[in-house]
Amino acid sequence: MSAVGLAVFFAEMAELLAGRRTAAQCEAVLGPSPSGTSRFGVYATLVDRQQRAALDSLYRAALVAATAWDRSKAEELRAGYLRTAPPAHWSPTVVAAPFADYLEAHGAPTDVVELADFSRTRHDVLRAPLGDGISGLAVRHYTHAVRDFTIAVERGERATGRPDATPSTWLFGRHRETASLVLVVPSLAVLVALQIIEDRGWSPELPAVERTEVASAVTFLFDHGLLSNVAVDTVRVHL
Amino acid sequence: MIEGVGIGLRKELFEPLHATTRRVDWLEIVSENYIGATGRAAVMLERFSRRWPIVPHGVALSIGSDPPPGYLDGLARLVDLVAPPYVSDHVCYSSIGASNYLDLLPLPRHAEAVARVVHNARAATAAVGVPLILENITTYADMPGSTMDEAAFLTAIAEQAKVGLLLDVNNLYINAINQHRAPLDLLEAFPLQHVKQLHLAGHTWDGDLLLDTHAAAVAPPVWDLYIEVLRRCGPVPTLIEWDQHIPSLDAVLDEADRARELMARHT
Repeated sequence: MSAVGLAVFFAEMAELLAGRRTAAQCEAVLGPSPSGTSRFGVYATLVDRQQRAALDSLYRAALVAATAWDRSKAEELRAGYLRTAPPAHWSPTVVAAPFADYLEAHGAPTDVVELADFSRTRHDVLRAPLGDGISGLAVRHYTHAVRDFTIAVERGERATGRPDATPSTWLFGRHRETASLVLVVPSLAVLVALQIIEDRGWSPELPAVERTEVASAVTFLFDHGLLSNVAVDTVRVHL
Repeated sequence: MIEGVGIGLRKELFEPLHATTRRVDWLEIVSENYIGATGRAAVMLERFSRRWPIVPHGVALSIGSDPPPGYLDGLARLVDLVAPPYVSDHVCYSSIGASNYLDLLPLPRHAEAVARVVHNARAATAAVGVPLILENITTYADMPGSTMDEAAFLTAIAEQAKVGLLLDVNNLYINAINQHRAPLDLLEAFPLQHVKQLHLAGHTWDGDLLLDTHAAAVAPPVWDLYIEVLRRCGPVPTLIEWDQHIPSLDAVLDEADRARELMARHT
């Protein structure tokens, strides 16, 4: 049996990997690493790097804009988030889910928060279960041109700057056959059609839209792979 | 039954893989990306599983500490979906309690760690219903308290848990270089009699450390080492891993073709 058991080992490593204790302090409890203190301590750096990479991968555009806004504050936000909400689950679906909320609560500008929300919404829509209603669809209104900026960053066409202050509304969904992301600007009739599906009927609060426009909107949504036959029928019985 | 050379299924390859007519023998998926998947990943998995054998390869079993809550149930459901001949993960830990490190971290190599891994390997095998094979990781520093070398550690785990090993040739090479040892010496010591599958991948220098990044083509000395493995082990199923800076599918398949050619020539 070794001098130090696994329970003590993991307790010390948890401190090292969270950056709360140095490699030398851990070695004082665990004994020396045969590879030397400096090399032993590299694991704190590697884990920090992995967690940052996961955040950067999920929110690349938001972090580019945050850096353009204020480099040191962007770094504070990134480090602060990982310190207060380190990954606590093995699933990539839930890692860093509340980052946009954190940014908003900690004073990030609106465009940065919106970029994070755009990335998260897209991520979630691609993973959401599809029912016969409007589950798996999301509508978001932004005050900035977040889609164009995000695409430019992800294609490597932009590595700095911030999105234009151009308002935009997006309907996010996943094509029911190809499973690819569908992102469209929803007309008022499209929004009304979605509301009819959700409410299973017309509501007096709905904006005044011609029924023929709603019928066209339903066809548009179906053609883009966003509605099931059941959902289409749900709307059409009310038209 | 898995034979030949496979590639890692990554979301960047979904569309080109669907369209390709080139040879792909099998696919490996990162288990965590597909456990409980209900979206695009699930659709793609169903589509590809009709065309190729699929092996789930995990990074979060954390067999050296304890599997995270719900993980084995999720893995068992994934096994039901794709019916693999086995699943694989790593001899490491990746979480402690509720903290997940998104990394493969080395254990101290001693009898208690062997016992922990053996216990968890048996539990995992019973939970998922197919054999488990375990991969050697890159080790940038030996942990305090270690009393065994890697070969003795892996041998003890394989024999006591009755699991096969996944030999990552790139990891073995990286460990040799970072420890200033000859790669062939580490290969000779490795418990090759337990090897059921191989990994090939690219690496990257970072200061004085060679890192396992899967961000490049397989390096020439790793190909050389692969030939030595083939000579000793025969035509063991091999996988090309490429996880960062992923190139075109054709570039990945070129690597697979090369591995297949070496397998034919050296076994």
